[in-house]
Amino acid sequence: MWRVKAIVKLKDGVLDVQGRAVEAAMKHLGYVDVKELKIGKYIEFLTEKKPDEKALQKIGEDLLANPVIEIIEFSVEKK
Amino acid sequence: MKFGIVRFPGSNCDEDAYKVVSNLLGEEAVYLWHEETSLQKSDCIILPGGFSYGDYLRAGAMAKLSPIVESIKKFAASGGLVLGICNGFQVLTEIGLLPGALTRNIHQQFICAWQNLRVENAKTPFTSLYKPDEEIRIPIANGEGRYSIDPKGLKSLEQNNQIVFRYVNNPNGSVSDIAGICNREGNVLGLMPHPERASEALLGGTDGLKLFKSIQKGRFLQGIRN
Repeated sequence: MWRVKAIVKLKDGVLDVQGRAVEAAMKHLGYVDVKELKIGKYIEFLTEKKPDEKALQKIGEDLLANPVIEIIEFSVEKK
Repeated sequence: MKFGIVRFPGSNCDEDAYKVVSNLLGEEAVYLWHEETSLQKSDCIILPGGFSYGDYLRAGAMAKLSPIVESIKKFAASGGLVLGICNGFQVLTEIGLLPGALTRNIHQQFICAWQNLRVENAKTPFTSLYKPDEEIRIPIANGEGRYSIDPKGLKSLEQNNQIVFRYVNNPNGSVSDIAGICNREGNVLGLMPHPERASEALLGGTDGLKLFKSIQKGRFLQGIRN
């Protein structure tokens, strides 16, 4: 079995309003040394066969991320 | 004239659209379940507002895999009229019928409020009864309504007159105050405001009804020409 982990992030230049709000809240709590806080999504699934990188990129662009505003990064490990 | 109103799991403005079409336009309306592939010979497809698939993953993201979407893409490619309202607009960007994306409102708030809009393009099949630059009042109700597109894409929208509605007072940080856009050909329109909620005086305004009447008039004139 293989475990696929994917992280979806907003592209640079796309305003991350959640990140901005959480960063402000952290500063409010006294963590003043915080910059560029970003919020993304984490997706994980298992496959029987080792997944093909191209196939992963395709499912990333077709469904898991919106290529207009997001990027997706995969990592694959043997379970 | 026949309007097909697509229902996804989580659509919730489908009945509003149905009532505008049947009660106020006096035209035929049918519901199209998202798992169907037939558009039942509709002349105009409406993707209504709501939260298709609970907005899981991204608003509109899961809906693009519904069987009916391929039929809608073909219908649009052949010049058929497609109107996406709110979540319907989000679906249209996700399936690639309209450029850009709808993202979280700048203040992270769900905004449900009447908005003043300016009609930027009164030459589309959806806006022909409005005057150019006419100011109209239509409500919005969304949490992810901030239109985003890169500078190149925005330039292309401007050059091709694809910006159909702009907010007079931008409520959510949308790029260039954009509230609604069409495709290059003008037969696919997506907008975040809800014209179906501004179609009866009892609901607080009737400015949205002209959008539906524009569609009806266009079809009528087309019938005469043919």
